[in-house]
Amino acid sequence: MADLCIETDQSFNFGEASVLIVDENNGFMDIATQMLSGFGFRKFHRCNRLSESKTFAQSHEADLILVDPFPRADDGLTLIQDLRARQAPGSAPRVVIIMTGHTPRELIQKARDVGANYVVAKPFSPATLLDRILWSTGTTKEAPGETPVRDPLAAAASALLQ
Amino acid sequence: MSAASRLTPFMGRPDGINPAQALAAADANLEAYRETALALVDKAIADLAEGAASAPHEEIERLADSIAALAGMFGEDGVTHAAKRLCETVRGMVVSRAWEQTTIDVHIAALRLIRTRAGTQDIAQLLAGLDRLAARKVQGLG
Repeated sequence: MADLCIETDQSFNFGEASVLIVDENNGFMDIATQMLSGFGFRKFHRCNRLSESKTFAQSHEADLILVDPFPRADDGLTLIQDLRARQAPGSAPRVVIIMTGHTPRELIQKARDVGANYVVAKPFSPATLLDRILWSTGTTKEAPGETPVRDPLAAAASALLQ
Repeated sequence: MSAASRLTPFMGRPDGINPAQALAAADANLEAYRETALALVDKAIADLAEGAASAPHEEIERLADSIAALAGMFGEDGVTHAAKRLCETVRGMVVSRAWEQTTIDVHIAALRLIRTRAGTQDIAQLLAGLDRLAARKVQGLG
């Protein structure tokens, strides 16, 4: 966890938080579900078709959304854009994480434009995913002497494009 | 401090767990899924071997993407590497409009070989060869 900002004294109970996972790869949806179950999440909705996820998102609220937009990247990004557009003014934002095996600069820029919080490159470790989730809560302190990450997506892009 | 989100209210709730407990549970869950995931990898490689000659490039790319993602989660670095090179090669061929089935077949053969645990040095040489091949295809040289 050397490069991560996980703080050992934090505690959390995500048992009542709802999760939407969108991935055409059913095996990877299983993996994401296994990881999140370990973190204490219990309420999952899984879609292996973007069209299905759009229907779900129109009538349900999700606190955490994991999306792999591959192979229809534009449709996947539109889902995020629609979710952001429907967010009530002043309400806390959903956490949107794009997980993808493809990280071209264009995708990362588009992800930023539509309002994704983070892009994580597949494969990724549970520590990486937990780090992003905890960071999104705003309860993670900046480590003394370290440069704070003000824009996590920009940091992800920077790391992925090195 | 980063901006608050809809997950913020779940921090500090009763009956919670800490990051170390969460990561230990996630690792245990993943380990329990290892055999299933690697069986899916083998199935995808078999599907590629059977159908790559007639499959559309989207399907080859989808299977290679799936192999890379699943194998990578379980430390199968050689398989992940070869699958990512296959993805790059397919995209390079599509962009350059120069399809070479033989090159696809070489990648699939490499994936099968790596999964059967050839010697480490052999795998390193194999992957280096795929890197060179993928680079040529991406640059439109091959």
